[in-house]
Amino acid sequence: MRELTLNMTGITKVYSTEDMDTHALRGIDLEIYKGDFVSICGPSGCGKSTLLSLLGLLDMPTTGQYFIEGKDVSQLNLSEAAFIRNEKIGFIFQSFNLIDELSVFDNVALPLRYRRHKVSEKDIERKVLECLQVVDMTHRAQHKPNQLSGGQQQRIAIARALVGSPALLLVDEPTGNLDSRNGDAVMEMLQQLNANGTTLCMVTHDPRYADMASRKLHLLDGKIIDTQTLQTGETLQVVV
Amino acid sequence: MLTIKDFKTAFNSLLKANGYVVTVVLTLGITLGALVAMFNLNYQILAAPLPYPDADQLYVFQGQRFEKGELSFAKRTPYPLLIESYEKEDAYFSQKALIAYGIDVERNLLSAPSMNIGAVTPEFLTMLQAPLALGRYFSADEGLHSMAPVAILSFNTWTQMYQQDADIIGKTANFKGVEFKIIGVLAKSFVEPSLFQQGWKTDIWLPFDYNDIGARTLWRFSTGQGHLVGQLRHDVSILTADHFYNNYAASRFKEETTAIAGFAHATTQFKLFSFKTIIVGDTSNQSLLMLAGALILLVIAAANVTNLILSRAANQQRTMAIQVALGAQKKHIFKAVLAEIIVLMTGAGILSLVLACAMVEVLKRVAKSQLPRLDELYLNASTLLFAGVVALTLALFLAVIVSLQVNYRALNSILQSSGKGTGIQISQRVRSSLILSQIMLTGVLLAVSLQILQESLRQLHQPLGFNTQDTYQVSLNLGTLLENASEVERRNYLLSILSELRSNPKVLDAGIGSLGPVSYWTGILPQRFLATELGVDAKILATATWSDSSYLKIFNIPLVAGRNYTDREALESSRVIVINQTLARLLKADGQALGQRVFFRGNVDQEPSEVIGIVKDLQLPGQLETARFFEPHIPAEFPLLLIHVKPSQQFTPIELNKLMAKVNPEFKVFRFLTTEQAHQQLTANQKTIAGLTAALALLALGLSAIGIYGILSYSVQLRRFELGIRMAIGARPNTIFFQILKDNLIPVVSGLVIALAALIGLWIWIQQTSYSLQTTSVGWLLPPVLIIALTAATSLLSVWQIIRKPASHVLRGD
Repeated sequence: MRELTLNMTGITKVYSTEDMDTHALRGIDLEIYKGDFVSICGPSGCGKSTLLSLLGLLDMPTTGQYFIEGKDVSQLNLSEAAFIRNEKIGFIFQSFNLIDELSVFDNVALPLRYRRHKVSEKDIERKVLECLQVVDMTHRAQHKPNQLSGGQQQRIAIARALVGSPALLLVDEPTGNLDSRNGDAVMEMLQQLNANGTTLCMVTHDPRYADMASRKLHLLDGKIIDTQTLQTGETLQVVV
Repeated sequence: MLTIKDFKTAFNSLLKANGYVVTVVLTLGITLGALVAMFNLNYQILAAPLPYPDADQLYVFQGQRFEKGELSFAKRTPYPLLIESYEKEDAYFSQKALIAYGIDVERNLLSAPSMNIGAVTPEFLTMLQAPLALGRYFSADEGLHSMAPVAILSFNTWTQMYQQDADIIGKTANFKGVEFKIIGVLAKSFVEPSLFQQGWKTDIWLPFDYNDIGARTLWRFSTGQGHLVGQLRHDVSILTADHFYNNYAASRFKEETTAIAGFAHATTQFKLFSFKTIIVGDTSNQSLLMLAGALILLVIAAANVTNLILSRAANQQRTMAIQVALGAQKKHIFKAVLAEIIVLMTGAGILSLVLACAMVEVLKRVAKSQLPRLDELYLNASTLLFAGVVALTLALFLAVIVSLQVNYRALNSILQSSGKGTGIQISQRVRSSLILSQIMLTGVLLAVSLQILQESLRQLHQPLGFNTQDTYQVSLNLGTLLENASEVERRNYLLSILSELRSNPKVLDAGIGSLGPVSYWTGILPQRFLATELGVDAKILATATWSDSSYLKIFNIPLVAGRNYTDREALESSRVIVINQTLARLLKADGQALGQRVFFRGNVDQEPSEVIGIVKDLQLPGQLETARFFEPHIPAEFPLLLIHVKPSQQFTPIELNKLMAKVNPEFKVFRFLTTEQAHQQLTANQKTIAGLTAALALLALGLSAIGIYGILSYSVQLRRFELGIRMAIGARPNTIFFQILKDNLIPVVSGLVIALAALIGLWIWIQQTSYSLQTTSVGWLLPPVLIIALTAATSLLSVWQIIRKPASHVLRGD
């Protein structure tokens, strides 16, 4: 029996202004199991980013239910959402979103420093270096993000997402700001992580990368219109 | 060039930022208003010409008495010297005039009001070309020695006492039984020069002969009531005239006092001071300090507003980026910024003028006895020009600062990074400098204001050392009795009035004295020189109070040694005195001065007086206690009735006039005050200072709050995306808040440390001057505590918009 990481039922999201309501999501039902690699694709404005925000508890749904590892997280307050996000979810953004003022090491360590229960500096150092080793960036630990290339920055972002051992890794257009060579390398790394048991959910425009997932969801006008299960996921013919 | 459209766009843009507009307009409006009001005041005091023709040629002859080369009396002249100098023909002055100030009771009016009298020779009003509303000036034959019973009313007196009676000319006013025929009324526009004391307003002008200066033939007495003024000829140097009259006064005084004991080393000189110098006095320091304070406030406000405007610019980066993408050049960005700032400055300028008018009115009410020329104060063209120039300069300065900080190249890249870059445009160094200057100035201003406020409050609430409750000190006017009744007769009348009072059911006790413990007439205290050995030149100057035995009892002034004198001793003017602790220490170092004999002026012709009692020192606010002695004597010339009424009982002047009329109707209330009122008058200055410093402290705190908020808000705006990232990876709202607070406290604490260093420097400097300021630990600790609390509050406020939203909104920049 496969272990359920998250499931959403009847999720909607409406953005309201004085003049009008915009229905970004219109009844999403979604289950993601441990070890899944789900890609979400669709045209611009179909609700991909909104769905990713809800999955990552960056925002709360208007209606519907959302469970992460069996816990109802549909209507948490900001503080509770922050705790869950910190412990269960890792983020990788299109524009890397590293903090320029912090070193690579401190950027990666940040999720651990926000833990509900204080993590010792020794443990932080061990885990950060482990993660930097995974992305092969140990030698850049004391550099500042702006001293790195785009590809390197994204690898640091991956290390940061991994450091808290999240149940779910949310990836938003991870290759959007990268050239194809670096983009391919990042995708290879994500595929490797999935192969090692990390659950991934990725938003992408690129059909090539979308096909690397084990399941592909098509979104249109705030609804999942198609779910495609891919047997093994395509592998890239590139050398990292 | 800015166009109407630029201003319209700016106006419409500002309409969507109400909070920002209100904050900026209030901050600049209040501080600019204060600066404009202070500029107006200083212009009036220091620069505005006096409203008299040839005003620069008008001089006052001021007498100064020296003892052994040291100044012992200033602003006092022997009466005969005044007269002789007035009558002396010279080649220096085109005309001279005499003026003596006094107060007397007008007896024709039912209310028998006390009126301020200016006794003048005819030249005085013509020299000033005082405009007339009715009638005429004094004529030449109504001059010195004429004893012409004529009077000229001030406009205010004509209005308030005679209800602008159109037929007033020819009617009479009665002083001391003399009917003075009213021959003129001065116009409302006449501004009387304050030659006597700030805030003095003459109610009625009489010929100089009717001044109430005593001892008119004695050279050894100097009066502060009488003045000689003159109009210097244009072809004469003031130094020459000064030298001439200085020598003249010294030689005449020497000739007349050589034979008088104790005057061997006394000299008198005349010093000539311009009207402006006399009128302004030493208030220019005060007014310049107030101007400096207002300027500091404006600098703080400008720093605050700079932060707010930078914060708004950071918020508007995307709009600016779109403008740049569409081809806007640097000058277009500058014009847009300048147009917005000019719109804001226009609002602030209008508010500042309204506030400046209000402040001027408040100054006229609360500081009329402290600051000169307030009657002439109004927002004149120079002030309006100053306000306009300052506002425009400030607008240009702010626009340039903002434009310099806008990184034009970075604007190009903002759109390319989908608005998700941190887009830092204002350097950390600039922000740190702003925070440091802001906190330092606020810290210093707050600390100084609080110390002064505490000192003023301490003085206001300090125990006085005597009873002020349910007591009255009423000066009496004896009318014609001063001339027509002997001293014994007057004394007997007074004793009868006392017994009438004591039998009144409202009264607990009554007595007679010459000077209340809180005297409204503080400028001219009756002081005498004392010596402990016969024939020795006197060295101790002490304030004399004559009274019967009730004085110490009514005011509950405690004896620390010896006894009070008796009523019999007062009636007999016995040679005994009660002294205060300060005088006791001057007479004997250990203060054990009981039994000590003192000679007034070391005069060998007089019997010595023996010290029979020592009382505790009084503690009058803002004054070092002087040496005082109380002498048993019933003053029958200018007596002061001392009345102690039962609790909750009250007396009125009319009641007292009726009661005294039973003894003799010539007795009238001259000045009617409760001791509490006298105390209030004495502390009016402290109250003004306390009020002003409290307002300054509040303003500094308010400005500081706005300033710190501006800086933090700006910093948070710059870090908005970074904070969003932190939230996305699990930072809780309170973690973000404490992170911001920690970051903010670093420059704030640095600013406080610099402020502390500046304050210590200031404190060391004050220690080396004649100023004294008692500092308190609360005064030192409160400012940093307030500023840190403000930092915490404003940190929360500035980050509130971020931490109360879901992380996705922050990342999107919503």
